[in-house]
Amino acid sequence: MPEPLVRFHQVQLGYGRQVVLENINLDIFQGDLFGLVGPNGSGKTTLLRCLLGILKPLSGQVSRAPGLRIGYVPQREMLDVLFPLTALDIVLMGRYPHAGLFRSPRRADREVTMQCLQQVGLADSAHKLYRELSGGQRQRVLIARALAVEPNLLVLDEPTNGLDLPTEAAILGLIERLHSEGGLTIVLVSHVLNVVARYATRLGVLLDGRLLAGEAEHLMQEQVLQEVYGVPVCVQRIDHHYIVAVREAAKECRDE
Amino acid sequence: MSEWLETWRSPIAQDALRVGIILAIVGGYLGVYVVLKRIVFVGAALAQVSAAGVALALLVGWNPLLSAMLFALAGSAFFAQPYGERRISRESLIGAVFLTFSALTVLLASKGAHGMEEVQHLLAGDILAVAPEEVTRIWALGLAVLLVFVLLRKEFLLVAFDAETAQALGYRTRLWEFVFYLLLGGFIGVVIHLVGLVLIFGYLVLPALGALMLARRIMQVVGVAVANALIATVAGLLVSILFDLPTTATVLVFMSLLAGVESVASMALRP
Repeated sequence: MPEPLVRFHQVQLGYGRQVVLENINLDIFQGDLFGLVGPNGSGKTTLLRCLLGILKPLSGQVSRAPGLRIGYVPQREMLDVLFPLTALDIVLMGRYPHAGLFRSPRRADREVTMQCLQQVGLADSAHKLYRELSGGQRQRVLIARALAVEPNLLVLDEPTNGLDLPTEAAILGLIERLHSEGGLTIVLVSHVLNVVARYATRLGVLLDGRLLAGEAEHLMQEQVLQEVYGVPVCVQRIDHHYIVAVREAAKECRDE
Repeated sequence: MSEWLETWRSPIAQDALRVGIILAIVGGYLGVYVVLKRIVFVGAALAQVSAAGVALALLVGWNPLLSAMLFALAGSAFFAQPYGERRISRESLIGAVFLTFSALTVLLASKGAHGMEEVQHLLAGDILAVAPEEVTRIWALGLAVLLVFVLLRKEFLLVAFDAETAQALGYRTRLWEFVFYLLLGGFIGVVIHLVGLVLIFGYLVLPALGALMLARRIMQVVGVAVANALIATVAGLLVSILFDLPTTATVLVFMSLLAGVESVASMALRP
């Protein structure tokens, strides 16, 4: 069994005296495309903050593989478009730790930045202002910035929020390519089960302060999901991707 | 005309010009970040906290500069604290600090030797009344603040734009926020008892507004903001001497005019 990149062992998470998640046991292995789902307020952000090293556990252990570099893609809505920054300026931020204190990013950093923009298909928009880009392009800029860190683990928080269907598919396609062709280990966080279920090889479902984690094919069973969400669901596989629907809605869809 | 030229060349006007230049450079630069970070009223509140420090110093016989600095640094430490979900908004808290220290300044100054005259000076200030020995001190501290800010600009930018990612990249954002507020509070603390609250607040807000409308890149914005502040300072001083007008108000009017003209120009130039 290979050593995991990140291991949560008996972890309890929260803020002050308030416990949000407990008894979290989770391994993220090299090559995983791990999908983390849960309804709003289920503790996804709390778990994510701990994974990123921003939040310390109340108890338990979180261990990271030596040399682990995490590329983080935050929610687009968290960023202020008032800042007059171009796509290039933002992606270059991923190189700041490499440049070091008191120093500007060097030519090599700029080259890496351009390569990352190319990788996400935005080389032509490098000098456009972030605020003038579409939602999908902004998402690509943030992915490029995370890639500029030269990560071995890419963490994306709600990357398809507020995107239309074709753009959502394109962003998910890009994430899948980074995983399958680039060999990146990915953690994809979303409140929409369908978004992560389509691509994730392993899943974690947060509910009532607990994490249910396992292989996607084991968790994507009607009985399991019914137990987790408390409603009858229908699970189908189309083109090797899982599609989940609440049973009543699924029935109506078929009737139409 | 020659009388005006004589006044302009006088040591008082030349000292005011020197002070105005360093205020414009540092205030214009810091102001861009103050506006972008949406903490405009933190600037006003910090200035008011410093003013209370000056009023207290004048009442009990302390050094006003030292007292203003200490109050500003305490205010900086307070505002640098992360403000999460609470029962009142951050804006309300800033408003409460501003009002409390405004009242405190008036109360302390009313019991001082100069009474309400001192309050008026702390508010409106008078750049023409800066003592010659203060000019070198303001330049030294202004340049120190500017140097630190320029050297750490990329870290300040990252933390201001995306604190969460900065944390994920290993930056201690609370420390960086504290350093930012320390520089801002330090700058305000140094100059508040010399040029007044309103002028400082003006330098931190108005030059950046026009610059953000007109320029498209962050360094261009900084350049235009500093240029705005310099133009308004020189023009304001000249006009106030020429027409015998209050200097602070004249400089502020020029800053507002520039911001207005640049806003109109940006709308006209927009494709």
